[in-house]
Amino acid sequence: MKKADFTIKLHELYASRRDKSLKETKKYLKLLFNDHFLIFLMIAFGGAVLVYRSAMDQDLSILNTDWTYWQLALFLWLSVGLLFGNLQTYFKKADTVFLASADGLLVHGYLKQAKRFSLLLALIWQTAFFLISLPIIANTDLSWVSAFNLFLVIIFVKTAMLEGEVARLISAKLAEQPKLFARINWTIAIITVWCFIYLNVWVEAIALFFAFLFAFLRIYQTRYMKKSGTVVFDNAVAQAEKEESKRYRFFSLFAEVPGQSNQSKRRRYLDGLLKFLGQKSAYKQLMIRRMARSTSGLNLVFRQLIVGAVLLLAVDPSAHWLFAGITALLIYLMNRQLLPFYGKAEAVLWTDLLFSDKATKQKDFSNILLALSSLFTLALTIILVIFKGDEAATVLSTGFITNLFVNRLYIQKQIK
Amino acid sequence: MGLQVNNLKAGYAGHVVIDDLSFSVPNGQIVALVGLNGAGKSTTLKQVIGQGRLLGGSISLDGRDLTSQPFEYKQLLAYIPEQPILYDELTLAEHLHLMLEAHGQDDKTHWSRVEELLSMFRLNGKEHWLPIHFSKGMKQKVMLVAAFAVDSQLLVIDEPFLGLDVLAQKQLIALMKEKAQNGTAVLLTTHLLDQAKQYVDSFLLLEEGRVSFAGSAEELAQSKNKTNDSLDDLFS
Repeated sequence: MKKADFTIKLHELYASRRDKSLKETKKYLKLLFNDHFLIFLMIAFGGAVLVYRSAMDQDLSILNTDWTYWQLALFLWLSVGLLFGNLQTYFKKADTVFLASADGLLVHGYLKQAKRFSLLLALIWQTAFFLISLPIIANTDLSWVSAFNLFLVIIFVKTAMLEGEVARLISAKLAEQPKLFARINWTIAIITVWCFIYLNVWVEAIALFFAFLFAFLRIYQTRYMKKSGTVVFDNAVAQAEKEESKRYRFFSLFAEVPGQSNQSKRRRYLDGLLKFLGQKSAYKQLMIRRMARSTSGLNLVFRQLIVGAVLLLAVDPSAHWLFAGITALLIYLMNRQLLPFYGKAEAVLWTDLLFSDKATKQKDFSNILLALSSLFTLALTIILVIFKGDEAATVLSTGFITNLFVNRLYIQKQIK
Repeated sequence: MGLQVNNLKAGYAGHVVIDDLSFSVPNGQIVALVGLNGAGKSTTLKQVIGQGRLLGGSISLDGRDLTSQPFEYKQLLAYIPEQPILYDELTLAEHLHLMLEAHGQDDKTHWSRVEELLSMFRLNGKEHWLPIHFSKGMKQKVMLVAAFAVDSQLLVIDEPFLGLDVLAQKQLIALMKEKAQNGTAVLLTTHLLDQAKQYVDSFLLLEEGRVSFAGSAEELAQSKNKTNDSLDDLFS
């Protein structure tokens, strides 16, 4: 065998893994931006604009203070933004054996490249979150100079958090208490951002200085640790797997990702509800449990319900067609979301052994979807009755007609 | 000089598993860490390969201290884990090239040794295979080839015979003996004591995180009032 057979060099290892991951992300993003998702995005964007316009006309001060819900929204939005752009190391389990002797190269080469790339990613994420928040900032009393300073604060804080993540990978002491370390990071980050939104020039200046100091100290700490620190592989691999799992879980919302489709959570709190729903048919019991415990099942339907309700509450009361259109689309998306459960259950040998009558299974499955989408419609209607009143009847009638239409003409054809 | 472990204290999240543990593995010797589950064997190995937080004591290899010279220490080490761990996306040959490169060793001078090992474990001709096509035993053989292909001063093996066929077990014993003859210190854990007495120079019996016995197979048997023929019954 020739030496040329091998193309990966240690100093190129990070770049090679990063490129592979980016290629994979690109592949999944192509699947994400399909027709259905683009329609959903357009509606969500339209809904956000409606919510924004309707909020602009209202007095949003909090309990008659100088603070408004705009500030609160800005704070929450930027805090959520800080969750994005984490350290991407792409470490793998086999590194613990094959790269254990290359610690020097890993700490001073591989991790350095990982940090640089992650900083770039973090910068892109934070900029995107900040730019999206500009319409909110416009409704606060922050000047544009202050807004720019706020952006700097976010960048400093995120840099400090990234440096902290690197430090945790090369210090066995920090690695022992990952949760405590993360909590300290987050507490400091959130207090800093909150201080900034306090709308006081002195507090603002202190927050800016504090964020800079936070980043500086973390950079210094990591540099100091790198002198004698070696990669704590257990922690490094766990962190990389967690990041990979987050990516795959996101992709698995709209595409088949190997090893991700069967992810389940116990969700003990749903036991009472499952017992209450207690179906006589064993197949129905199986399916409802699969949907309730899957990470891409009823939890997503619940989130869709919240988003849908917010959208409907923001719609102009005179636009009846919009209420009907959004309701129909939500029902369709919900059914489409749950449809793959039939095929996935069929792929399990047990399903075939235990339930051999295909016609009964198809009937039971479509009945479950009909029941769930009826509950979905009912929940939307109740929310509208409570908060809006007028359009509840439109939502209820459109919902039930769409349910029947989607169930009989779409679902039943798809599972045959 | 070999491996020196002095007054080692280690554990997890505030729980001390090993306290005041001292032993050595001289160059050219094969030493087996034995003990019941939970005695601290894995924790000890983890510390020796530099994956764990030292709460006290020191570990050094040929004079290189793990805490103050971690990079130099780890360069001298090869490790075979209990379960094979491979990269899904790398071929067998790519794994071996990577291992040599991580140890800073030249492909050209070491590749004939690699080919010899591949042939010994009947992996020749499979250099371009991905791990998905290997059985568990074959994966374990890849780990062995990778570890024996590099020049190391300390070879650490966690349960060496798991998943290996009888022929591969014999070859592994021969390789360990050869490695020791060439001056490498070999530290391993095993539960197969009767088999171990064929190739192990010294046993370290771990009980509750401490060495309760150190010596030859005969001495180990005597210390537990057993005969040398029934080491597998040591704990019964």
